[in-house]
Amino acid sequence: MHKFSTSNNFRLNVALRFVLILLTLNNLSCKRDELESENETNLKYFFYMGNDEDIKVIIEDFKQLDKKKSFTSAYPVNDKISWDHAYRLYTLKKSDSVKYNVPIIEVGGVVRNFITISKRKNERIQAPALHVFDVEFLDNLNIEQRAFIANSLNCFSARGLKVPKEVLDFTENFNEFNRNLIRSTEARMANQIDDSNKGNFQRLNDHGNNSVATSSTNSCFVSLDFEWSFYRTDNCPSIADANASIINTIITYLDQRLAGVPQVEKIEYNPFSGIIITGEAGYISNNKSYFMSLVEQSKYIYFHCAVGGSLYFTRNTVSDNCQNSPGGGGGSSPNNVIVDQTVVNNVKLSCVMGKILNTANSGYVKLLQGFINSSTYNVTFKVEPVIPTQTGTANGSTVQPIGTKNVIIYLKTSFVEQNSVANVAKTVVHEMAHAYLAQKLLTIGGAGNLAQNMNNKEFKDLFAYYSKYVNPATGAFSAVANNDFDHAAMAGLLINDIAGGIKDFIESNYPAVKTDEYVSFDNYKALAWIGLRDTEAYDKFKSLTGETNESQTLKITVLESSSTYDCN
Amino acid sequence: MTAINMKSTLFLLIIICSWQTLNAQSKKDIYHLLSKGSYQTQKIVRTVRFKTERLDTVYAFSLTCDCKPGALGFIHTVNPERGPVNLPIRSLTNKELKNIEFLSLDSLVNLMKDNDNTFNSKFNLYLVEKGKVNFAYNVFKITSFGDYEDGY
Repeated sequence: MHKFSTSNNFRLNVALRFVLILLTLNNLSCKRDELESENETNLKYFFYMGNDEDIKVIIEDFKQLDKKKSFTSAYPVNDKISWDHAYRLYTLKKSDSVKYNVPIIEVGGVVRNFITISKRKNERIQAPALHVFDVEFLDNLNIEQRAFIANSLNCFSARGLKVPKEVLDFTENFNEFNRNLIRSTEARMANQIDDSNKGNFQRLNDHGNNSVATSSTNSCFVSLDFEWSFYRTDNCPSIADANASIINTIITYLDQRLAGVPQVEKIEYNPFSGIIITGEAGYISNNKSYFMSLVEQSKYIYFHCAVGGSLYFTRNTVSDNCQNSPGGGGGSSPNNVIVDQTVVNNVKLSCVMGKILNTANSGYVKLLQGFINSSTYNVTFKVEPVIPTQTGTANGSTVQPIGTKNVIIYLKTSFVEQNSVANVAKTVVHEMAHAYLAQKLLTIGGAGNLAQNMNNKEFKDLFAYYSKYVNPATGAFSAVANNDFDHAAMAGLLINDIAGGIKDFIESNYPAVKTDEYVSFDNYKALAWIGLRDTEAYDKFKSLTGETNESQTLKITVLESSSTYDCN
Repeated sequence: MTAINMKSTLFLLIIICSWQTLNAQSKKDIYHLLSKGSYQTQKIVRTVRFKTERLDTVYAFSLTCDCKPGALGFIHTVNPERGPVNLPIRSLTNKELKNIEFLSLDSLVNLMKDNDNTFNSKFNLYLVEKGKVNFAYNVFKITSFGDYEDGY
């Protein structure tokens, strides 16, 4: 019996060891799959413009890439101007061995993280980690991504530098296309408006799924922006009309990243006279060639035609708001609430948005009321790896390009991926509140007109908040003041609507939370205060209720525990 | 047969422990010692039905900080039906405590800021509560500093 038992034990031992080995192998295999999967994800870091945190992430990506794998890196051509939006593409060969380190270099008085790629034969390339993508991946780029490369190559070529053949081949057509666009712009700048280049627009139609309106005799501008996008406006008024009553503006956002802080530069430009009306921070000029130099430097330029629609491309999407034009951005668009293709493609976020952009959600009904069924105002939701209007760590941002009736809500991809849906929904609804205020102000022509509407009960409260952020001496209302004003107004006027929107989302995602004894409206409200804790309204709320930052945070954490992490 | 069962159980335990160790190794362990009066905690024990009905125990933590939100939120949860789970609560001997390098609150805040959206996937944060028994709660960060950076 004893012998039998020993033998049995031996067999059992062998069997269990075998199982252990299998499980270990399986686990290792899973790890490998995970890494491979991450690499695939990393390839989506197509474009980088960001902060130290992102650089660290990208450096981790580098480390995880197969060192023998060929990939392409991009970095600024001009190392004296650290951020001139010109990128050189370099393809590493399979024979190259690559080492990575992260020195910190002082450039223009700003400390930046750089990555050093050391090659054989002591060749060294030093550059900020901008973006990484596999060479084979280039073949799968969509039209906007190709345009991005093409534009970077334009800057590249302009400096007399050699473009790697394998990169040039697939973008050749786009280089030509872009040159035509610049010629077209130049022609129009000289008031020689013609449609000789309208075939170019047709060419865009030939690529990708995003159809684009063809050029019409009413077209007035086409150009590039620093994010490698194309902008065009349609249905511009005649010159006489423009001179009579409508100021056509071009708003230029020059993102001065050398300072490490995003700064919004505003230039109003009359496209018919070629005169820049106003400018700020050293960019004042009435010289047409100066403006063209901005175009050629691929600065961020937004064209707007006051009486017509607008059409613009962004890096990942095409948004088409042209009047009577075909095509347009992807995604479902209930009324004028547009879900961009980037959101549609994001499984988690599209699920969240589906439950928020719903008439059963009180936040949607209240905060987007100005867009729902509107033929005038649009709000578009997008998700991006890097929020184009931000260099900080913002999880979301809402922009309202001046001169348009469009509001764009950006969410950050990593935030969406790494947080619970309750947390994501909180940010979505928070940004919707920004959109609400933006739309409301649009109806009176901007915050500057609040004073004229202070007797209108609809705007009376808003004016009260606004007036706190206007410089009484100059009447100035800066971008920072605008954000503070928004948050103050959101905290004072919309906090329960924001909380309601979050509540309706969480309850629709996990209905059992309604009967959870630990959850009440206070928990949703605590979540709604996130991002608004700097406001007077929050201080007042705390003093009235006896709540503290700690107790509020605890309520949020309890709410987190009471609902599911993912979208159901 | 009893011996066989015991050995089987032992081997299975080894397998499970190895598995957990392997998983845990992919994240870096970091520790923060909770100081009395600077945090609030709530233990919730309830029956939930995320998918199946089960008894769920959750620990919520809120730490006072000299930072933008004013307090940091953390959660300890082990119910896989809710979502990602933490490692089980550990008890630490006083000797073990002495050998642990604790992150100060400022360092923890900086680390959280630097890894705002990747913190939970990079680090196994343990909040350590000193007492007759020293408990180490593995937690997820809830607070996001990006919530205070949004622009309009």
